[in-house]
Amino acid sequence: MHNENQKQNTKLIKEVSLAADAVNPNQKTENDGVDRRGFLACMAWAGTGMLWTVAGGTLGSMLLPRRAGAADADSLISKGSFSFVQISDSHIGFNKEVINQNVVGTLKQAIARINAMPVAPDFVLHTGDLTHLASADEFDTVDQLMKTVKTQQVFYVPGEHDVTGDNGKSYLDRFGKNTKGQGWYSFDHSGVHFIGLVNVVDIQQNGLGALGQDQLAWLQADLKDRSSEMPIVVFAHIPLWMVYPEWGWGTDDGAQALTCLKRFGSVTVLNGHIHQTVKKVEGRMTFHTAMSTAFPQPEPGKAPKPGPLKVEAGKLNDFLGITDVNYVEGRSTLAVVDSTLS
Amino acid sequence: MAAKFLTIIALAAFGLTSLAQPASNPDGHPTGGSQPATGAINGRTLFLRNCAHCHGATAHGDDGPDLHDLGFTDDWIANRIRKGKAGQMTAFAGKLKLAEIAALVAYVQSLK
Repeated sequence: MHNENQKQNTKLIKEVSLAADAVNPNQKTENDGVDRRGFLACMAWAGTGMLWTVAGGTLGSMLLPRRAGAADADSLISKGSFSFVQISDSHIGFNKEVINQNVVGTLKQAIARINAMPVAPDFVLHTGDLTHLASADEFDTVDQLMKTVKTQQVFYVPGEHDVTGDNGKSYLDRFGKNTKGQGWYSFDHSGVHFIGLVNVVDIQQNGLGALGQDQLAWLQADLKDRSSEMPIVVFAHIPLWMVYPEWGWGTDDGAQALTCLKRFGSVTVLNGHIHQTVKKVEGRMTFHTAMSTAFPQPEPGKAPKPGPLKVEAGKLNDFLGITDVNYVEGRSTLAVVDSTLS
Repeated sequence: MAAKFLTIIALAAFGLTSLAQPASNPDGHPTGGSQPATGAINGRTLFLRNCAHCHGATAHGDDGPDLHDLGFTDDWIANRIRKGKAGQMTAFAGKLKLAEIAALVAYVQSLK
């Protein structure tokens, strides 16, 4: 299994590197800074960390340097641009001997990776499953740990593990300030519109997530008066697109949300839930899922069940990681770079 | 009149069958008791919405354990659903009503 994953990691690295070539702002380009080859060809299933950079109409990405401070990452941050980091599925409270008995430790490693970046990210997005069982002490631990991130703000959306026992009340009490409904909200940052959606409170019988009509109506209203030239970043826990519905890896009414976004020139959708990097591009929309900081899950359909994946001893960090996203003013794509904790 | 009488017999027979054995979904999984009527609480549906992401859609276990042939009493299972287990299972007392927990218990007990 591990050798198989190593091959897939190598594949992802190659694909990501292709895209990175096209979005490096130091590179002279006549087009919109997009390497479509790297993304249209890419449907990678792997456990590697990723840095995203968004600019203009399509997506570019590069592999995050293993050591912070590397010149490639630094070069992505230029005047008029900003970066943010996505982390996901920290599952504080999870504890399984053969998988990961120190999820606090691996989250700390992820935070250390962020804090060692050459330029601090403007903010961090946590795309859900902060906790494993949504207990008060688990939420408190996440809250305390995330306060050690060197950034201006941390934005959250819940995962199903954060809302299972009480429909999200504990989550909303702690992280739902200034949100609407079950915790959805939007904000603008340096000309980019960010939308946090909640698709985990009403899990469907087939295991798929759902947004619900109230949230979809709010989304429509939120987007109504916005210029189609404004870059949009949508983040939610369960993928909004159908990654693998057989395991509930998709959102039942996600297509309705995506329809609302169709007129925009640059849409980047960031999700978690499946504990591995998967990306694809459809038209002007780029979809990306992030690794977990706690444990990996199998590739879709490659195991009888989607539960936690046991990996070779000492190799766990190869499958955990963070995602860095970089926006460059005047470009139509965001550059997205995943990096593992190894 | 004869047709009406036959219909009543057929409905009665259906009712007896429903009580005699748990109804099944097309996928063969029990629905969790004798409440197939619209509006009734369906244990299988509740299970899929609340429990399947840990115990698996077939309840044969995934992150959480296999729930077939548990061998515990209804009260024990209901208590576990309500209170959860520290470090291992979410407490559902803040979400599920007593009737819903009862339907889930019936469903879990039907898993053989």
